[in-house]
Order: sequence, then structure tokens, then C-alpha cells
Amino acid sequence: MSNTRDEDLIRRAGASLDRSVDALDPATRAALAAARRKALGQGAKSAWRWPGFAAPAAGLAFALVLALGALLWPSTAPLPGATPPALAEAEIEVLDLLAVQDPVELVDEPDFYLWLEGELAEEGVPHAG
Amino acid sequence: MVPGATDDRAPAPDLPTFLARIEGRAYRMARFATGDRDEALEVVQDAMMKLVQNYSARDPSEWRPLFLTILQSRIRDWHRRRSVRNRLRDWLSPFLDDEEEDAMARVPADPSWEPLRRLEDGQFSIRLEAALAALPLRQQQAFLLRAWEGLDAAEAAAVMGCGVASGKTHYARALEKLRVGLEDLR
Repeated sequence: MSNTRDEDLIRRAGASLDRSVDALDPATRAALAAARRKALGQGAKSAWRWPGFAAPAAGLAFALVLALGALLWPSTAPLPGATPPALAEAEIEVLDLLAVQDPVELVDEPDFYLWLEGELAEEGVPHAG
Repeated sequence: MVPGATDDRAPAPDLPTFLARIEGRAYRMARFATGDRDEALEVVQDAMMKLVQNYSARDPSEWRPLFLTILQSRIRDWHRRRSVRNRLRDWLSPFLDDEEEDAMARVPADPSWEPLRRLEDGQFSIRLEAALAALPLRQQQAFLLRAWEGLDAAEAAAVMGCGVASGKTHYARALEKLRVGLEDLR
């Protein structure tokens, strides 16, 4: 094997291949540039990633917020041993009306109840209310 | 430095510059291996994407060997897939249209070579292209990596994913075939 002859072959081959790159047609150059932009664009999109510990940490933080919220939220339940506040008369009447099972039209006519109470009193029936 | 190697191999300041510098050479290597413009472009784009995805944070001095390794790996994958397709086609050929197709007719002309053919050294380039395209893939890779990219035996073997001795053998056989094939032009 002749090293000098091989070196000459390699030199000419390298120069020829370099020229072939310089002589690439515009369409191929454009396609390569588009491929490069696509690769770099895809890389930019995926450059920032959630670190591996992010998901468990986010879950833990959410659970802590829920726990704090449950602890600090003002409670409506009476404390053990506390006296419930007295209801006003009007509030009691409203509650009675809401709790009544009779048809609504009877509730709307209080005169009927007054008449019925009078009738029952005359007949000696004890007051049911 | 191997004779014939060009001097654009200094580490690039950033990844876009690196890719812009190497994309033409990568395309020529892929084109020799695949014999098809679109396939070569796809191979190069795959290699670029892989480099950007996985190795963009590496030191710029590592980009070139990494990219060449990815590129050669993609080229080998392409050849494996084509071999499977060809075997399948052979197996199915009795059931398919029996119109014979010349294998060389499937290789499209490369318009990028037309301007080159008008150059003074055009005849050598045409013959070199034909001789390179006719080399077995591993010999082709070994020659391009060592004679054109200027890698030494160990670097080329690492890029090719083979042993140093095996890489040297591929390179020696490639040189021998090219020497014989281009003898009358020297």
C-alpha cells in the first residue's frame, strides 16, 4: 500500500465532498434549514420541563392547603357545652311555616285557623295547637 | 488531522450555528447511504431532533461526535428497515405484479450534483460518488468518517458502534475499493 497515493486519494475525495456540500441546490438547502428550525423549535418547547419531584411536591402542597383551610375555617357548629343563641319570635314563626306539612293555601288563610279554634273551643275540644 | 479534512470542526458557539455548519455534510453522508433525497433529509432531521432533545446542554465540544454517532445510528436503522422491506418484497413477489424493476432506476438523480459536474474536477467527483454509493454501508461510513470528517480510528469506531480493529478493517477495504475504482483518474 502506498501511503502517499492514499493520502492523495483522500485529499481529493475530501475536497470533492466539500464541493458537493457547497454545491447543494437551493431547495435542499431550504429543506435542511427547515429541518434545523423544526429541531431547534421542538427543543425550545421541551427545554423547560417539570423536575421529577414537582408532581409529588405539588400534591403535598395542595394537601397542606386543604388541611390548613379545614383547621382555620370558622366553624358554625356550637362548641360543646355552649348555650345556643335564642331565636327571635319572627324567626320561630318562619321556621314553623317552613316546617308545616299542610297545603300552602291553608297556611295563607290565618282566619280559617281562628275560626276553627273558636269552633273547637265552643264544642269543648281542647286546643290542639 | 487526516488529509482532506476541512477546518470547520471547531466547537460552535451555540447549537443553531453548529447545526447550520454540519447539516450539509450530514445530508451528503445520509444521501450516500440512502440514495434518496427525501430519505436523507428525514434521517438528518431525526438526528438533529435527537441531538437537540437529549444533548443540547452538553459541552459544545461534544456536539460533533454525538451528532455523528446519532446520524450513523439513524442511517443503520434506515438500512435495517429497508432490508426488512426488501425481504418482505422478495417473499411477496410471486403474489405481486411481476414487472421487473431496475434497482438503479429507483435511485433518483441528485440535482445537487449538477453544478458540481460542471467543475473542473467533475469527472473525479462523479466517479467518487458512484464508488462511494457502491460501498457496503460500514465501509462507506468508515471512509466518510475518517477521510472526510477527519476522525481517527478510535473516534470513528466509537461513532460507528464497532471495535477499533473492525473499524480499521472497514476503512482499509473502502480505501482499497476506491483506489481500484478511481485508479485511471489518478
